[in-house]
Amino acid sequence: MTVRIATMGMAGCSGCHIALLDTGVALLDLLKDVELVYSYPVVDTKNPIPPNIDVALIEGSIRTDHDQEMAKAMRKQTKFVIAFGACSAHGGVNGLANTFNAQEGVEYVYHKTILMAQKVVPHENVPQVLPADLRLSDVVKVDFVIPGCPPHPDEIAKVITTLLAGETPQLSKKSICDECPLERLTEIPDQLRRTHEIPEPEKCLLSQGFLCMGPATRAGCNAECTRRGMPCTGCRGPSETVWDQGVAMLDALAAMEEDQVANFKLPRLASTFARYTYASSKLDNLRKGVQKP
Amino acid sequence: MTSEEPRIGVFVCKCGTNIAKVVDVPAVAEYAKDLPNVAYSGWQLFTCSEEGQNIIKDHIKKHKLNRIIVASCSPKLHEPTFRRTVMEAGINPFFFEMANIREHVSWAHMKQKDEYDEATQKAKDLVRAAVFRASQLESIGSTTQKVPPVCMVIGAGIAGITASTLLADEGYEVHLVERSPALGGKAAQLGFVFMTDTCGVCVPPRHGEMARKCLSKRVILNDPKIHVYTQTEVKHFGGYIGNFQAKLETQPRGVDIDTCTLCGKCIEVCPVEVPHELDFGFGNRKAIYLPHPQAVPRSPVVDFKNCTKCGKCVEVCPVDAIHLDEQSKSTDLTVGTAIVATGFDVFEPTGLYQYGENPNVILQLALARLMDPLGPTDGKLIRISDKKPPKHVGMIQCVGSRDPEYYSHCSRVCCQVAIKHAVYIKEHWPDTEVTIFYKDIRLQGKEYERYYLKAQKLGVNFHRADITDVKETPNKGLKLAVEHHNGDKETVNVDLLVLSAAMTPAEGAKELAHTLNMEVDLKGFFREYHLKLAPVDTTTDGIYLAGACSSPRDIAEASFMGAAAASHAAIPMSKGEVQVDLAKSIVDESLCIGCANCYAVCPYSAIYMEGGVAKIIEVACKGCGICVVECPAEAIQLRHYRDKQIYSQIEGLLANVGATKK
Repeated sequence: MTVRIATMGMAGCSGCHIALLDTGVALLDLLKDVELVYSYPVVDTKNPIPPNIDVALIEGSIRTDHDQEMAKAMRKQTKFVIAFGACSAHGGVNGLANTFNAQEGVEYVYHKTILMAQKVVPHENVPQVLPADLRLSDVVKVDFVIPGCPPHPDEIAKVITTLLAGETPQLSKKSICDECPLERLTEIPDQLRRTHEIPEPEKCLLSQGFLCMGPATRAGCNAECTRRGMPCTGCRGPSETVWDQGVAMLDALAAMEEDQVANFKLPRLASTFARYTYASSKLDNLRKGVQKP
Repeated sequence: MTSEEPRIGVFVCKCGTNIAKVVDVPAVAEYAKDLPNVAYSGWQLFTCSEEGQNIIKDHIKKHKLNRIIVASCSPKLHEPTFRRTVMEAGINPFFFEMANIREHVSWAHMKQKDEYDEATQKAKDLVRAAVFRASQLESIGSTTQKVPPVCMVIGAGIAGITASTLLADEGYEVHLVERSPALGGKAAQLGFVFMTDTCGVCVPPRHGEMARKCLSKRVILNDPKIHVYTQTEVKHFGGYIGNFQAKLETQPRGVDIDTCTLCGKCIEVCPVEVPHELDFGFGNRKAIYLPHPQAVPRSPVVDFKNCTKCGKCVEVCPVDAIHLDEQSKSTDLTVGTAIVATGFDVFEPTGLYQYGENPNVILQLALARLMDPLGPTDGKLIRISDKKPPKHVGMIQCVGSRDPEYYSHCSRVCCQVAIKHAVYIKEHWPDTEVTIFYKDIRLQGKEYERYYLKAQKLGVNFHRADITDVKETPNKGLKLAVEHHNGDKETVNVDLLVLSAAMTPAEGAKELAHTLNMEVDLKGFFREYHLKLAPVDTTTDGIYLAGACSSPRDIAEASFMGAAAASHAAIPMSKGEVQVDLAKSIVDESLCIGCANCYAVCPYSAIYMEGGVAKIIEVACKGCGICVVECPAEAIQLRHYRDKQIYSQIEGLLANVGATKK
């Protein structure tokens, strides 16, 4: 029996769909048992969503009322909904828009940017922007999350294979450091360093002063960035026990001695500590007071 | 036990009228009946009474309760009481939870009658939060830690010596560590001390003796139970009650205490002369010297900073006691408990009242040396500038004390010291006029008042006044502009001006506190566990405070406190072990990333790294939770305050928010 799979894109960059293609040869194996019934790169998605979908991979965050409606429609037809990628799972980079007022943002785009000379906010026959960026689970019940910006192709393949075998997939409960091969140092850095600086190879980036989000971020990506000397930006969201990714990292830094922290200049807190999770962070929930369905 | 269905009992206390006056206690008890998992709810007049506790026990049996909530006062007060109660009823003490509806509710709203209804609602909210949390509580056990009968006492002043001799008498081994070359602290440097006019080196009578002993009689040095380390500092300190590890560093003395006969020949031949730090510029001493005339241990000490190593002292020493090539040595100790008795220093009022500019402006400590029969002037009261006896001695009180610019505290002893010196001057040189300029005279203590009256009778002038200006007169005297508190202004000429300077934390106290991992207050005095109820305990189990290291104290208080610290230190040592409950942090090693953040922040050195993960020494952990918060991987949880327990409490607290806000 073939498994009916759908994919869908909301507010996102289609990077997750590209990551799906990036599963490479594994994709060929998967497609043997799979019928792709609805997927905007290959199927005309203006059609109504077909019924009896087994698995839906939904990319992107919920930014407009259209996104919200589509997510609900997809949920109705689908047995197993997967939040696919960081935007869908945690709100993603889009979520940083929640640090601004949504309506002011729309007006800025249509009034002040050069391309929009007509200075009119379109309102007829276009989706309306929601007051805040939401993750998929704020709108519909989500059965599983594949985090990452984009998700790791190996993990995508693993999750789908597991599902096809009739089993429940599992995410790693540990943090990136668990997979990271760099040598852990116990000394505390005397200053923070920016990503354009060259780190010492083979040594923990955080202890060299790079703001690596690895400790608070869920493992499963094989620490692809840090093993190449690029500090983790936290795209996979909080690890299993972490309450709030950004707060956990801030806490870790704040616990250092006063004179050490004094040297730290932390620019743009939200985009540094909650780059992919701001929309689902506790602080944003408090601030926006959005009624979630 | 955790898997069983929670059956919660809620006991709301009226606390006489303390709570009942403001909160409708029966209504709170009635309300709690309908909360989830509550099997019984009722109220008492005094839940903490014997009777109230028995009611709890009865209901535990009757309703098969397994979680107990008492809504009454602060857990600081009666949590231990009720934990014991539920334990006696066969329930793990950590299944007990308290809602504070007295300090947080009734007392806070006592004065606003129109808030009483809302206060009752607040009490209900707090009870509901406790009920939600109680369902999530877990059973927590305890462990024992052996405590060897060995105590380290840091500082050999009055407090430290008192504590050491008492502990030794009780049969404990004592390591007495002193930074300076002589025992006795500041008191030993005084010729005579307040109230008894005896010398400052009396130590309390030993067991079975009635008469006090003189420190100089080597009682401490000869005691087999007391190991004395002079010129020694604590370099490293770690561990926890029952297993403190200390590393001591002893500077070389240059003279073997046991063979030295104190013939004094070495001092005679020494060619180096330097000012004596004790004598405030009156006299000089040699590079090999006796720290002060009554110094114990009774042997000279070599000042290696100034010694030229000419070797003359070695040649003349008849018993070959001098070794100029002696090196510093370090000692490792393992002790069960420790007492900090590092004493105080005196504020240097440089720039105030011409101190440091005019040699006739001196501190009380210097005056004490001047009048000490064994001091640099053989007990003659003279001025430094012309070596003539002063006709008029002025004393200014509260120099640096009770002054927001320097130290806001009252230094406690200055009134006594000034009056002691004034009386001494009047008794020995009746023609000398003495004037004390004070803000308030503060003399509370047994027999202190008698001393004050004596000073007044002898004709000491007491002026309640501020000194607004000090000018030098041609004969190096001082002209004081006096502003009386009643508004009168006058000028007073004195020949010698004595400043009663503030007591400050001992030099290096902050560094020592850092080494010992202890807290100091804003001014740098060691912080006690509780000002009133636990003045000798500290936040670290097994470390106690004595004497002026925690606040200015006089000699009598220092000796009380030395005795108190000894008795507290003896508790775990006499039992030989301490029971430590395990409401401590625990590490999920599968989640730990080995970043060592927790190791770095733990204020109690309770965490160590092994095999790339953090491990917790449960005996040393105080359950403060800092490690829980800083752990970026959130691999640490604190038993009894797990995330789910705190969240459920918050959930309970907020469950009714919509309903109360209309």
